[in-house]
Amino acid sequence: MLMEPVLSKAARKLGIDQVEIRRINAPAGKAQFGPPAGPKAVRQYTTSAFVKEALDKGATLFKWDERKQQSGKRNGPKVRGVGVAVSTYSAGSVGFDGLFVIKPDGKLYVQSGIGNHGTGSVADCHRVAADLLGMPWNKVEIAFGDTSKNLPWTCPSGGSQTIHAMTRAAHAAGMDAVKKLQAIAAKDLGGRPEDYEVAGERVFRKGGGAGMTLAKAAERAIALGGTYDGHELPKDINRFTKTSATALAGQGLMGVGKDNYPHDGQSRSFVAGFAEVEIDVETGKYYILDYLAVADVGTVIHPRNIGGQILGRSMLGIGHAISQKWVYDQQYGVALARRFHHNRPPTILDAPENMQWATVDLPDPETPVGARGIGEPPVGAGACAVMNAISDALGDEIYKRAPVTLDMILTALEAGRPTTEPLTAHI
Amino acid sequence: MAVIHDVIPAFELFQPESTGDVLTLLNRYGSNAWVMAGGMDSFDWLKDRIKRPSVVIDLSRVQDLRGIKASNDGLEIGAGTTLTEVVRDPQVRDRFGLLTEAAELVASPQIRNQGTIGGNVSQDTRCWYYRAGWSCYRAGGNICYADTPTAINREHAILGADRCVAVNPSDTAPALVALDAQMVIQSASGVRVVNAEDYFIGPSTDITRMTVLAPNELLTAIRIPSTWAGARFYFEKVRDRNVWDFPLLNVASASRMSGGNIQSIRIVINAAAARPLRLHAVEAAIVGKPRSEQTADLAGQIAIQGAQALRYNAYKIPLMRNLVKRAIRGNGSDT
Repeated sequence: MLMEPVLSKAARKLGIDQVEIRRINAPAGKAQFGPPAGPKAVRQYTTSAFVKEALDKGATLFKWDERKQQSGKRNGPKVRGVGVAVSTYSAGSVGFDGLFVIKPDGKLYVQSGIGNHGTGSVADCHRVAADLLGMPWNKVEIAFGDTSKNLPWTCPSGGSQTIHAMTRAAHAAGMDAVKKLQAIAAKDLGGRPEDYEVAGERVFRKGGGAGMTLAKAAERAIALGGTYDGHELPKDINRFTKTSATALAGQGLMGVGKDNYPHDGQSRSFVAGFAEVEIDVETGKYYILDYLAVADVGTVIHPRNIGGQILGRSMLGIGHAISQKWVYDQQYGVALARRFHHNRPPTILDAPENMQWATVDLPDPETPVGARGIGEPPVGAGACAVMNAISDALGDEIYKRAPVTLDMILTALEAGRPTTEPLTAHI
Repeated sequence: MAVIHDVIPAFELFQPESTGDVLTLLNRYGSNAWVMAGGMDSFDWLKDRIKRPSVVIDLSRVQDLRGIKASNDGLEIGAGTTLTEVVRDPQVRDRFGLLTEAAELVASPQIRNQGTIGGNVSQDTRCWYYRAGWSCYRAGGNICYADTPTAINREHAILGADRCVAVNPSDTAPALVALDAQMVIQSASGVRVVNAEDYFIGPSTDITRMTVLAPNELLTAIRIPSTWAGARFYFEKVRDRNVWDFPLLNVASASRMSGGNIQSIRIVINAAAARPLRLHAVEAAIVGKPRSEQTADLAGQIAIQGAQALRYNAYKIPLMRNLVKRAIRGNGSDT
């Protein structure tokens, strides 16, 4: 909310295009960020960053160069402006556990410890395990919801954490099951475990030949016991997972494992937001005509769900830009905005008339599935793209804080300068 | 000033089924009675325990307060008619589209389904100091918390302030004043009819009330004469959000043209003062003039004469000037 309007102001002073100044400053690869920290005073760095790619894709989809030509032109009392902004947020933790059982009925029973955010991640993360086993999605049963259901140790319930942390854990459990299936096949059908592969609900000899169904392999796992059906468990899994896995032992072939994959750097997702606004200079009222968010979130697991996440969180940011506020009396310190209609969260009619999303869809190299989280990353881009579009239309001397409301715009246009104190809380 | 929000204090509830029974109850309980129509304004007050009436008279079962019918000279709208019913009524839309537009911009669809036109015009001010129970002038105290050097008063008055700086938040009220409507008021002792322009009062008349309604009286109907039927109308509401928001300012006007000149016009601004302001000086100055940018400029300048800004509401002065200009020009808004 602070840096992006400042960057746009700098671009105008320097005569550089708004997208271009962000390309020049875009983090890429193992990009350093933040102050030096820790005993060795070293800076953190990203696992990967594809911000240039997001800006380029966005500029093309948004027809940035075309729209830019119309920016600042008057049509009666109306004037349009375009804005762009980039935001980022941490996008995933590591070290959690995956747990599932393939039962003799041939189905994959997944234990999902993910809190239900309404984003689909309760199920989506486990597509990774299903993929590794060649298991059709309609033969996957997911248990979730409370700890009595024998769930594994799972990341905290956060939108930016889950898809990263839990696809890693699902991958670990999936690979554990693949190894066990190969071992069972080698025991029963001869040869070495690595001569076998798993696909299409079967484990079979590479290049064709002898094999067995996963249903049959599950029966064999129960007969073999030990690690195969969960009576012996990995040493490194969390005690929580151990308790759950012990309760499930003996029901089929168990996939269980801790995410021990390498992870060099901090996972961060990025979003480039593009907005076009139309402002009525006689009232100060403005409408967001168009909004596009392009997300650098690594591999996309579920397109519709990530689209909902990107646009939903963009609206959160747009609300901060256009209307949402807390108001306190400055003498008595009492909250004056006590109800929703005082706080003014955006309504459906305040959403941009046209809202689109896209992703760069380049995998993050520091996680096996390539997916990073998308919770908070779109917020700053949503807020600042709108604010930058207002400055683009009317100049830098309009506002010094958000939300940018019509009274602020109208008074500044009349006075030729921002009239609201920059450090005053919301009014 | 701790306010407990969870329980409405006890009161005696009456649910009469005829206007006559309402008037009898009002006569019996007077200022101890709270009249509730759609409940859109009432429940905030009651839940916050700021207003503690001993008696609540619920009008929702009074069928004779509802409905829109043609009268000898225009339309009569029952005070209990919902805003949605007003918006959907073809007679209102065909002849007095100004009111249709104004009513359709009130709050949200859900609130318009429940809220009544009588309630919308008679609603109390939204001043957040007053509404939170601060003991201000309007609440019977001796200070205005919204008019101090540290007050947050972005939505308060620029005109007509007298100790209190609260504004009237109604969208339909200025439309009714512009249409020269009449308010039918009944009490146990009879009926009186008041011009809409005189129905609303400012703090210099009575600092604790927004309308002329006395405690034993009930607004039963609104009459719209045919005077302005099919005239040229302009309504614009400026608000922070595009739905579910009160006006920062609104403007309503009705005019007739003759040979390219303004033959007659009524123009009303609300949310600038404690009552909808009919701009008599503007009307007088522009009658007979062409509907030009020059006339619009003149109107805008006259409109804001005497306007005084508080700490945070200076924007309302150019906003009022521009809305009056747009009402004359007849354009500017696509909302």
